[in-house]
Amino acid sequence: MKSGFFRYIFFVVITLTFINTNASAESAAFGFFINESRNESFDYLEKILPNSFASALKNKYNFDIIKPGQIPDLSADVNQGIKKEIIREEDLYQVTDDIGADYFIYGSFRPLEDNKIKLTINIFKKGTTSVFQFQETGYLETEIFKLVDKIAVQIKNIASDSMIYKNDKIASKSKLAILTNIEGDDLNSLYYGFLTSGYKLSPIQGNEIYGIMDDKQIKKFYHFTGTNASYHFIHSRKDIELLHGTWSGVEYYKMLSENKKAYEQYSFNYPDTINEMLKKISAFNADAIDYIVVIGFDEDKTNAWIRCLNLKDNKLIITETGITGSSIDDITKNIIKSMTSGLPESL
Amino acid sequence: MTPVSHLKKIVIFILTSIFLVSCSSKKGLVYSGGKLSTNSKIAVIIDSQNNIKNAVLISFLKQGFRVKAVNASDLYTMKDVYDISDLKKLSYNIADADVSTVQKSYDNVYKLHVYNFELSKAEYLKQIRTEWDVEYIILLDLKEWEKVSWARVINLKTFEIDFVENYPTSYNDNIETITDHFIKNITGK
Repeated sequence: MKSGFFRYIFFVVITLTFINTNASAESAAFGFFINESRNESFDYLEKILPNSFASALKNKYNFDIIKPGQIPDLSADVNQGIKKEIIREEDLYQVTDDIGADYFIYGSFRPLEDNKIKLTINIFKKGTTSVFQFQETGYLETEIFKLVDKIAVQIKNIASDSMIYKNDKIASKSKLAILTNIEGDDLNSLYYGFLTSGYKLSPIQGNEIYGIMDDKQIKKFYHFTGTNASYHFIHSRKDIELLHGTWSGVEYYKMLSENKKAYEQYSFNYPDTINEMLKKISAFNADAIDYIVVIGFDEDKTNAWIRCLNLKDNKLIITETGITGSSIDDITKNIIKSMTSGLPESL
Repeated sequence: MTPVSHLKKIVIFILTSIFLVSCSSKKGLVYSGGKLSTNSKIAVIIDSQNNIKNAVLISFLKQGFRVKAVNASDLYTMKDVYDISDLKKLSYNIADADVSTVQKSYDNVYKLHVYNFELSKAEYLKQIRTEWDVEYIILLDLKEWEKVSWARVINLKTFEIDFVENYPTSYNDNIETITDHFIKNITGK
C-alpha cells in the first residue's frame, strides 16, 4: 500500500516535471542578419548566422525554432534598387503578426579588421512594444563557433521571463551608485549587503532621510540604454504628426520646433542624449562611481529587477528581472550573486 | 488533556508566534568601514522637532564632535522650511509646468531628470564639504519602540558611505540612549 502511494507520488512528480519542461520551452523565429558592409564576400553569413543561432537554441536549449527560410519574405527595396531584408523596429508588429513564435530575432553584422566581426542582435517578444538589442564582437572562421555559442546563450537568457543579459561581472571593491525605490532602514539593509560583500557605495540617493521614488517611478528605468546594449521602446516616426500649414503662426512654429527637438532628444537620438548626461556624472568626480546600479523593488519588496551600467564606457553590463527573496537582505544576496556570476547556461 | 485546554494551548502558541514574528521581523545590523574620531567635523541630519534635535546634538557635542550648524541653524524643523520629502517629490515628479506633453510621453525624460537631480545633490554635498568644512554627514532617523531606528554616515572626503546601522528600538530606549548607541558604534568607543 505504502509503496503504491510513493509510486503514485513519483509518477505525479515526473509528469509535472515533463509538463513544466514543455511549457517552459520558448519558440523563436529568425530573420536574416544583414551584411552592413559593402563587401559582398561576407553575404553568405546573412543566412549562416541566424541558422547557426537557431540550431544552437534548438539543440542546446530546447527552443522551438522557425528558421529564416521558413518565414515570409521580408525583403524591401533599399537604395539603388538593391533588395535587402531590412527590418525596421516600427514594422515589427506587422512583420511578426503571422509568425507563430514567441520571439522574433534578427540583426546585422559588420566585418572589422583583424578577421573580426561585430554583430547586432535584436530580440522582439511578440505582444510587447519593446526590443532588446545587444552587440557582440568576435573572430571569424574557426572562432565563429565560439561566438555563435556565446550569442546563443545570451539569446536564451534574454528570451525568458527573467530577461537576463550579462556582459561582465562586477567585482567587489567596485564603487557603485545605487538608484532604488526603498528608503530608511530598508535602504540600510540593501547597503549593508553590498558593503559587507566588499563593494564601495557612492552616497547617491542615500544622502537623505527620505526617499520618495516609488515602484511606479523606478519602473521608468526598466527600459535602459547602454552603448553596447539596450532594452528600449519601439518609437516610430510614422506615429508623429507635426501638422502645419498656412494657418500656422509664429508661436505655433516655435512649439512645433520644440516638439521636434524633444522627439529627437528623448527618442530617436536618446543614446547620444544619455551619453552626454553620463559624461557629466562621470566628470563630477572621475573616481566617484564605477557602476550605476538601478534596483527596482515591487510594492511588497519581495521581487526586484536590476539594470547595471559601467560608467567608464557607458556599457550596459547586466539586466535581470524577477529576483526574489523573503526579505530585503535575501534579495540583496541574490542580486549580488547575480552580479558576480556568469550567465546561467541551462534553464 | 481536554479539547478546550488543547485549543487554549494552540491559541496561545499562535498568539505568541505572531507576537514574536512582529517583534523580530526587522533585525538589527551594523556595518562600519572605519571608526570616526570624536573630534571630526560633522553635520547631523535629523528630521525632528528642535527640542529632540537639541538632545541629539548635545550627545554628539558631549563626545567632542565639532558639530556644524547644517540643519540646525533655524528655529523651524526641516519639514517646515526645507521639506526634503516635498523637494524630492518636486524633483522626482515632473511638474506640469516644467515639460511639454511631448516630453512627458517619454520615460527617458524622467530618467534624465533623476540623473540631473542626483547630480545637483552631489554638487551640494561638495559644497557642504568645501564651504561648511564638514568631513562627515550623519543621517539619523530615531523611531519609537517596535520600530527600527537607523543611522548612516557619509564620508565627504571619499564620497562613500562609511557606516550603516539599523537598530530596533527597545522598550526602555529614549532619544539619548538611541543616539548614544549610534555614537558608540560610529566611534567604536
